[in-house]
Amino acid sequence: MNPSPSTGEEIRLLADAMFDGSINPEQTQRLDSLLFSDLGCLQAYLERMTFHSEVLKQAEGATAEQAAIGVMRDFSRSIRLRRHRERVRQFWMFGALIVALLVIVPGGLYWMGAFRPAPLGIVSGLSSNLQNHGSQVDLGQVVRMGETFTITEGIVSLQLPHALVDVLGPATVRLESSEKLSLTTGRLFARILTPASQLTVTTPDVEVVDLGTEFLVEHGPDRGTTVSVRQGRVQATLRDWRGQPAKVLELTDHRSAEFHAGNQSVKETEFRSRNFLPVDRSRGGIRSIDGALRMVVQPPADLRSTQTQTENHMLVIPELQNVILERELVVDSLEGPVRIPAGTSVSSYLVHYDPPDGVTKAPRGGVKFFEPVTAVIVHSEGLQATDNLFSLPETQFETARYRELELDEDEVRLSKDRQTVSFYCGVNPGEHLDQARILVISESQPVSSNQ
Amino acid sequence: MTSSDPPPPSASVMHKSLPQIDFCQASVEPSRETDFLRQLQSAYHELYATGLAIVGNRSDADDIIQETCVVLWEKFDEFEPGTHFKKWASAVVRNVAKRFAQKRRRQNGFGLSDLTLQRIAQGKTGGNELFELQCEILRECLGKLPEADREFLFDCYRHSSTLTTYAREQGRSVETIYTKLKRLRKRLGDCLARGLGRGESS
Repeated sequence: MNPSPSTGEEIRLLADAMFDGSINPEQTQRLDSLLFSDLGCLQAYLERMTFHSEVLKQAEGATAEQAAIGVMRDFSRSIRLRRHRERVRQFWMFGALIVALLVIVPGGLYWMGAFRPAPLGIVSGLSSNLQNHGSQVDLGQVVRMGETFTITEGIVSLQLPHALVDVLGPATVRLESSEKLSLTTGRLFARILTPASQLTVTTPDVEVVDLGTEFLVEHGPDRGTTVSVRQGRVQATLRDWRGQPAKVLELTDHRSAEFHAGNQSVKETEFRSRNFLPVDRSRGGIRSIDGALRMVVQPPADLRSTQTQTENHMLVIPELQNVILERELVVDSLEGPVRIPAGTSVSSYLVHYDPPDGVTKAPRGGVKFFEPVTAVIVHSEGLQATDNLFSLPETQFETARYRELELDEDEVRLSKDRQTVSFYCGVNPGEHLDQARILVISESQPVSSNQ
Repeated sequence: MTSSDPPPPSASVMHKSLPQIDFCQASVEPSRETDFLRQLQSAYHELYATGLAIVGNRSDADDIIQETCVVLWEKFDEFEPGTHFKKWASAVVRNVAKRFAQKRRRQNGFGLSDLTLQRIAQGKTGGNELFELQCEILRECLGKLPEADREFLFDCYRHSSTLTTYAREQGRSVETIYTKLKRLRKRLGDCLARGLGRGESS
């Protein structure tokens, strides 16, 4: 079992080198080979390591008890260190968890929409020719604080808690709050719905505080800001170069003024009703629209079949407004004959749908008015009978019967409060043109029904 | 045991001689702590020798024994009183040492193979009487060394880093230190061989 003297000595030298930490790879390989192949070498190696262990023990002069205590002290220290590391690790993990909670969770919630800015209102109207920058604008879309609308063409109507605002493109408007808007450029028409509520419109030149009214604000970088009041009263405050109030001007019915922050000038100008025309032509007495209805900026002049085609939506076109009837008018309405006394002020709206061939998806939508609807005319005879009375000048209409709504296919509903009319226009093959006329009495006046 | 019963002698001795070691405020019963220390004390040198044989050098052996103590303490609940602590602890130290040696081999790029480590570990499970006899003779041999030589030898062994570092600290060349150490080891080896009746070591 004992190795040869020379091998035994080699093993001892290799074991010593290993113990001293001076062994190299070749020596290690040699040692490995000897230990693996020869039990005598293994025994010699173990004896040599026992030798070193004993010398070490004697060198330290420690009894087993002292050595054990020393080790346990180290052990205790190492446990402490280990626990400290564990605490540090837990601290960092806890920190990471907190960071995750503070960053990821709110981020996730934000992503899920939990921290979205407060909703301020909805998009209540769109013109058919709307073009805008940024994300798509849809009817009924919730508008939020801080949101900016950049309209390059057309009109977007916003219904806020106390006001209706029409943004006429090209324009850029930011919603600061439910009661404050910033107009960077373009035109904005505001109509206050709730008495005693306020709406503030700011431009780089002026801050306009509405005091219960209808007014128009128009701003251009070179033109300054024009404020026109059609009804009620506003307080307009010119700003200085720091944005601080410089001059205050109150404007009442049919007054208009220009404000220039650059030269600090305020000048009253002639009030022009036609400045309100785009809004009146588009909106009239419409409070809101939804679904596949769109308003118009410029009413089409030719409403004959295939002349004004509308692929995915119906148009609601304000016709003549506030027409005072010279004699009693009897119309064949959806609900039967309706008599409207002479002297009544009536506003008219035409709903027009004329899709091109190949359209298969029928549009559905509704229009809500400020005032109750008096009559919805859906038959050809009724339409023709009222064309001359309520249509815009020089508008051409289809004379064929198919312009009427086919009530077996198309649907018309009048809401219980009579303020909303809903349409569903079918797209069965054949002539697609569908038209209906809605009459709204401008002010509360007597109406009799023959139903 | 009633309150009038004297405490077990071994426990009493341990409490007198061992300092109170704080087991990191671990909620352990003092008797359990004492029991563990007593058992560890009885097995300590053998565990150390086993660890040293597997990893081969002192600093690694120190780490091994440390790690082994941690494992033993953590697993002491699994140890059945009355069974052979030394055997149980030896199995632990062998496993710890083998893992350590494997890890060191990966770090250094060389080292003893797994099979060799296994053989060394197996070799340490038997033949303890021979090793004990060897140690006894070695202690006598150490006593026969001149005082200066013994102190030099012990200095070398007490020094926890390499001989090169030790030589630098002593302001002497490594060769001088190593040559002297080699000579003393040989003298002890010869003495040991004679004591074991094998004649001189070379």
